[in-house]
Amino acid sequence: MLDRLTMLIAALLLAAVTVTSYWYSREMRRPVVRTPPTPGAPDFIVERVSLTQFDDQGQANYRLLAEELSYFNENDDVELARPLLVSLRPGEPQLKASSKRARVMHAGEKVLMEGDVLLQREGRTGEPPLTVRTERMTVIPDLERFSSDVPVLIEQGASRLSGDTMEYDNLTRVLGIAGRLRGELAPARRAP
Amino acid sequence: MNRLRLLLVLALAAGALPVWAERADRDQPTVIEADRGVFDELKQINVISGRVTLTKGTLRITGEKMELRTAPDGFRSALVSAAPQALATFRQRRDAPKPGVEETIEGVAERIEWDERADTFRFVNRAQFKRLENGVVRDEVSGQIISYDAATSTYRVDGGDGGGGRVRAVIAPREDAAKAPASPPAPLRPSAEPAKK
Repeated sequence: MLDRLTMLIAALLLAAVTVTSYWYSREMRRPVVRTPPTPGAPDFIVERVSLTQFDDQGQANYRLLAEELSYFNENDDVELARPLLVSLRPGEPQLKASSKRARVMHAGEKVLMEGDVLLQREGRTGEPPLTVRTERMTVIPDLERFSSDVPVLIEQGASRLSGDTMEYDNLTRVLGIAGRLRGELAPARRAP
Repeated sequence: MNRLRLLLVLALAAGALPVWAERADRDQPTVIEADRGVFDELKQINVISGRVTLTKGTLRITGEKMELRTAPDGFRSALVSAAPQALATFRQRRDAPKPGVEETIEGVAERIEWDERADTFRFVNRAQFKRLENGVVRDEVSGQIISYDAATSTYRVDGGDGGGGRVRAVIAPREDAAKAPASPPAPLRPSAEPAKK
């Protein structure tokens, strides 16, 4: 009787060891349950978004509208589909920038716009509005700097200007164009 | 100032039909081409550089660097300078003085200044100025400074400061009608030593 009981205990122990080691080996091979976000995938997406940036005095600097906003936690970047950036500085002609897509980097310090980039500036008194068209543009919103390393076309009234690259500072209002510069300037109106 | 100055005023259109810089040029846009440019909207000064050309209708100016300004009324002025050892060039067709004659004027200088409103040009340093009829040089002048008024078709040559300042002019005789045969341009000797002021 005692022999049979010893055998039973030994068999149960053996079975327990087998089951435990099997479970342990399965557990080792299983992927970790907490899956990290897929690299390059957004942490969240917001549709039809409107963001307004204010300065220290609470005055709105600019507003950003987009069809879709995707936020990436890994580098704090924001990707926008069909963005439209509108400047709201009082007393300054309104500036609008739109494109097919844009990437906002370094917490809004730098914006890279791509595809059908269109920059429009309202005309000052007696001045026709100014438009800039290109395929790629880098914007530093705080400094109001716009640069493009691909061909640009700038139009104002009947005048047009084109070149291979562009640098524009909206605060000093200095525009630099390099490479195959061509300008067509409308004639002045002479008194009849 | 003890300056030696030599002045010559020539009327190209003297006695003949009035000739004008091509009238249609005025309504043409100004086209600029270059390697690069910096446009200052506030100061309205544009600095354009690298193989610069400016065209407006039949007017064409070339150089290495150009300062282009726009006045509040929209009229422009340009200062075109040449690369070292080179000369800026100017060329414009004028309204035909008579049928079958195509008249062009050409000029070179180290610097060419253009005033759109007044329709005047200034050729500064090593300036040369020519009037051509059907490609044949009829008048030719050179000096330190040549001022050309396209509105009245007159030019003025200045020998410049210093003893070396000399004006040289070759002016073709005017043909009253077609009766006078085409003759080579009569050479005009440089003027006598100018009086000291």
